[in-house]
Amino acid sequence: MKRLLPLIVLVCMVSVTPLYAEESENGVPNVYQFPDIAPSIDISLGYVFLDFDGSRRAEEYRHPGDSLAAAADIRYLPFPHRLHLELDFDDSHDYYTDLSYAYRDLVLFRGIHRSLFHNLTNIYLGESPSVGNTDVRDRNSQYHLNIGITDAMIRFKAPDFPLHLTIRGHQATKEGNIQQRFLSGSAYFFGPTGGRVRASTKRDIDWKTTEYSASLNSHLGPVEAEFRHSQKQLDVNGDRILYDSYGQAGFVIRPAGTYPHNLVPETKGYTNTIKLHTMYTGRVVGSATFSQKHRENEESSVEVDHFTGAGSIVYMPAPALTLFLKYRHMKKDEDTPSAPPSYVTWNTSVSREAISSSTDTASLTVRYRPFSRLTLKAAYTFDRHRRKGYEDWHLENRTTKNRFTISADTRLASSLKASASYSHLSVDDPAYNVTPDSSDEGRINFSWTPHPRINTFIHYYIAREKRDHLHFVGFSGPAESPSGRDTKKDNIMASVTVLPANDLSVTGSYAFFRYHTEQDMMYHTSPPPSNDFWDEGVSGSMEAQVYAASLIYRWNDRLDLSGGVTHTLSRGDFDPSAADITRPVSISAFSVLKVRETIYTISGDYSLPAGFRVGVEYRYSDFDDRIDDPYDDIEDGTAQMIWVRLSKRWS
Amino acid sequence: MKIRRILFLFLATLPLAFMGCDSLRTSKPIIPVKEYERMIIGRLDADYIGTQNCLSACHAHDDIRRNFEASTMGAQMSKKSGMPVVDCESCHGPGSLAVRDITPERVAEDARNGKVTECDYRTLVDIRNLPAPAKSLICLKCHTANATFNLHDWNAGTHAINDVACTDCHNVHAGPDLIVRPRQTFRMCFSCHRDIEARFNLPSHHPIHEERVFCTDCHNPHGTVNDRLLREDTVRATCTRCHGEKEGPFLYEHAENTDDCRKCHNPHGSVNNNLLILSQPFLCLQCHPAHVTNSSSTVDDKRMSFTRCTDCHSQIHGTDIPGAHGEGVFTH
Repeated sequence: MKRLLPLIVLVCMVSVTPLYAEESENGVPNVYQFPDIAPSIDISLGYVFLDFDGSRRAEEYRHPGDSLAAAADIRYLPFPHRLHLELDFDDSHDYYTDLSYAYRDLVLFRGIHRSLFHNLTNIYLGESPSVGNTDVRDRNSQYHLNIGITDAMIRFKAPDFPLHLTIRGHQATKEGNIQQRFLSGSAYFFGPTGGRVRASTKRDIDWKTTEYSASLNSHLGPVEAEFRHSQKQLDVNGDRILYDSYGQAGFVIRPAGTYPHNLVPETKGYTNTIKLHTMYTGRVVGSATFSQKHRENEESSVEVDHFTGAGSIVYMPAPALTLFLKYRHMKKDEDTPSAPPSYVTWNTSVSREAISSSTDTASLTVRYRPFSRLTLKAAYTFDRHRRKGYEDWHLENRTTKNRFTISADTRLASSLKASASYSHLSVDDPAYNVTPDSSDEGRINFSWTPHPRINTFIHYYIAREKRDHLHFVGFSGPAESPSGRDTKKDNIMASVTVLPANDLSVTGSYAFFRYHTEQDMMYHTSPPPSNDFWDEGVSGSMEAQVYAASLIYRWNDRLDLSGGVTHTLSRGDFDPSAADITRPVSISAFSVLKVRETIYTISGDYSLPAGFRVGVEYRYSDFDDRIDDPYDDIEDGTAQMIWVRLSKRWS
Repeated sequence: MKIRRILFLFLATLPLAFMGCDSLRTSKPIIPVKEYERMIIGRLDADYIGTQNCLSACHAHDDIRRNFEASTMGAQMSKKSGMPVVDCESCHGPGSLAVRDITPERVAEDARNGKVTECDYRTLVDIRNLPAPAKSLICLKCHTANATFNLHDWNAGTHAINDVACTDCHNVHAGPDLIVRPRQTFRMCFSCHRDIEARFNLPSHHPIHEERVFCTDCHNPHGTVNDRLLREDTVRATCTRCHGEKEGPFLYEHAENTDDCRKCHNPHGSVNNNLLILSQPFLCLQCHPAHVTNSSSTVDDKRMSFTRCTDCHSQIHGTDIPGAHGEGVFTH
C-alpha cells in the first residue's frame, strides 16, 4: 500500500489539471460549455407507526417501535462538479445513504451505506418436566442484530488517457445479541455425570469485516491490463469466546472443569489479481484473470492459499455463429497446524487435516442464429475436482462432472416469445450424498401479449436427480446404502397483467416450489453395543405456494392509489419409518413445517399545490404457524405498520 | 517476494503506456465484426451534422440532451481528450437526412398550428430492432479501448451469451447518472428472473424487497469467470463478504461443504429458517448417520437426539476447538 501512495498522489495531481480550455483549429480558445441544469431537491418527512403482536418473524427486518422517517433526493450540478445524494431514513436502525460525486470525468466517488435491523429467533429448548437434559438460560430474551454495510469507491482518471486508479472499501458490521445454543453437561455420550445437555444462552456480538483494495488499470496497445491488491480482515469483539463448566467426559477423556467453546476467530488475508483483455469488439475477443488469495486464522494459525487462473475466448466466425470457450483452474492449499490452540488442554494433536484440492473447468458454448427470430445454443462443460487428504474423510480422490445443455430462444410472433432448455449432468465418483450420479433439468418460459392491454408470463422448471448408492460413515467404518437417492425439483411461475383502463393496472401471479427427495438413511444405536441400521426410502420435502395480486390506479392527476396482497403457504415433511426413531417421540418433529404468511398493503399519494405531496401507506403482516410446536423455531406473529409522509420538491 | 515482483513488473510497463499515448489515440486496431458494424453505422448517404444541428430546431429532446451532457460521457466531449466524442450521432447514426427539411421557421409554423414537427426517424439507426450483440456493440465500440474493466468478462459472460444488451439494464436517457441505482437493481433483474422474484416472497429471505441487500452484492451482471456471475471465486468467498465470521479457515473444517454454502442454504429464499434448503435434522441426515437411542431409551434421551443438529453442533461452519473427546465435531 505504501508503494502505491506516490502513484496515487501523482494521478491525483495530474487529474485536477485544467484541460478543458483548448484551442480550436483557428487558434481561438474553445472552452467546452457545460449545460446549465438547476439543482433538484426532493425532501420527505413522515412517521412510522409499528405494532408487533407475538413473533417478530412477521416483519423480520423491522425495528419494533414507532419512529420518525425521512427521505431526500438532492441533485446539484455546478459543473464541472456533479453531486447526487439519496437518503432514506426509516428509523435510527434502518437507513440508506448513497452519495455520488464527480469532477469532470477525472474523479468519481461513490459511497453507499446501508443499515438494517434483523429480528432473530429465540428457540425454546424446553425444560423439565416436558423436556429434560436442557439448560435454558435465556427464556424470553429478545434477539436482534444491527447490520451495517458500507461500500465506497473513488476513481481517479488520468486526463486524456484511460489510466485509472481505483480505491475501494467494503465494510460489513454486525452488532447486537444472538442466541447461542451449544452442547453442555459432559458434552459427550458417556460420562459418570451429566452426559449431554442442550444449552441456550445470550451472546453479545460485535463483528466487523473490512476489505480495502487498490487497483490500477490502463490501455496498453493491443491489450488492457489491471492489477488489483486487496486486504481483508475480520475483527471480533463482544463475546469472542465462551467458557463453561463441563462434567467429566467419558472416564479418561476429559476431566470435569471449565473449558472454552464457540470461539469466533479473527482472520485476515490479501488477494492479488491481474486481468488482461483484448479489444471488446472484433471477431476474436479474449480475456484472462490470474488471482492469488491468502487467508489466515489468527487464533489457530491455519492458513489457506487459493490460486485461480481463468481465461475466455469468444470467436465469431459469422454473425449467425459465435463460439465461447472458457477455462478455469482453481487450486486450494490449506495448511493445518498439528496442534490446536494452547488453551485446548484436553487434546494435543489434530487428527485429520483439511482437504486441499484443485479444480479444472472447461466449457464450450456454441450460439447459432439461423434466422433473426430463433437462437439455438449448445454447451458442454467438463469439470474435474481432485482432492488431497481425502482418505481421512472417506471421500473419493477425484470427482468428474460432464454437463451438456441445449437451448432455444424464439420469437414466434411479435407478441409471443418462448425459450426452452434441457441440461444433462453426469457425475463420476460423487463425493457427497447430495451430489447425484446424474441429473436432468428442463426449463421453459412463455411471454405472450395477446392484446396490448394484456401480458402473460409462464415459467416452468423441472429437475430430476438420481444417485445409485449413498455413502455413510458408521460405527464400523464407511458403508454403502442398499439403495440410492431420487430428488425432484419443480418450480412453476405464472403471472398476468391487465390494463382494463388507461389509469388502471392489475397483476396476479402464482408460484409453486417443490423440493422432494427420497433416500436411504443410516442411524446409530447407543448405548453400547453400538451398531448401525438402515431406514430405506425415507422422504423429505419442502413445498411452497405463493399467490400475489396487486393493483395500481391513477384516480386523477393528483391522486395515485395502489394495493396488494401476497399469500404464501409453506410445508415441510420428513417421513422416517423405523420404530425406534418414531416412537414415543419422532425424529421428524422439527422437520415438519406448515406456515401461512399473508401480507396486505394499501397506499395512496396525493399531490398538493407548490410541489407538495402527501402519502399514506398501511401494511399488515400475519405469520401463522399451523403446527404450533413450542419447541421449534417458528412462532405466530402479526405486525401492523402505518406510514404517513409529507413531501416537497424544488427544481 | 512474489507479490513485489508482480507489482514491480506491472509498474515497469506503465511508462510504455504514457510513451505510446499519441500512437494509441490514432491507432484503433479493432477487427470489425463487419455485419454488426454495418447495422450500427447508419445510412451511408447521410452526413454527420453534430448535436447542435441535430437539436437546433427541436426542443423535444432538451431534457435528454441536458442529462446526457451532464453525464460522465458528456464530460468527455473535449476534442483534445483523445476519447471518442460522444453525442447523439455516436449511437443514432448520422442525422442529416433526419432533419433535412426541418427549419426553425417550419417548427414555429407547426407549433402555431398545434403540431409537433418530427424528425424522419426512419433514416436513423433502428436501435430498438437490432440484435442484442449489435445493440451492445454501440456501447462497446467506445468502451473497448478505455480500460473499462467492469466489462472484462462481458463477452463470454452469461448475459452476453443469452442476448442481453447493455440497454436492457442501462437507460442512457434516464438522467445524468447512467449507473443503475442499487436500490432499484432488483426490479430490473426480476423483470427477467421472475422465478427468483417469487423466491424472495418465501418466509426466510435476504432483505431484497426491503432494499437493504442488492442483487449486485453477490452477482456481477457484467460477467465474471465464476459460476452464476458470482462476484468472488467461490460461493464461500461471496457469502463471507458480509458473513465474515464464517470464512475461516478453521482448524476443524466441515470437509469441503463450507466452500459451497448452497449445499445447505438457498440464498434466494426458503420456507425454512436461516435459508436452509430443508429443515433439520433431515438436512444433515442426508449425509450423516443420526444419533439414535434404542427402544429401551427414555423419552428424554430420544428428545436429546431427535433435535436440530445445530443445537449441539453449533459450530457447523468450522471451529478451532475440538469436542470433548478431542475430535472436530463442531460442538465447541
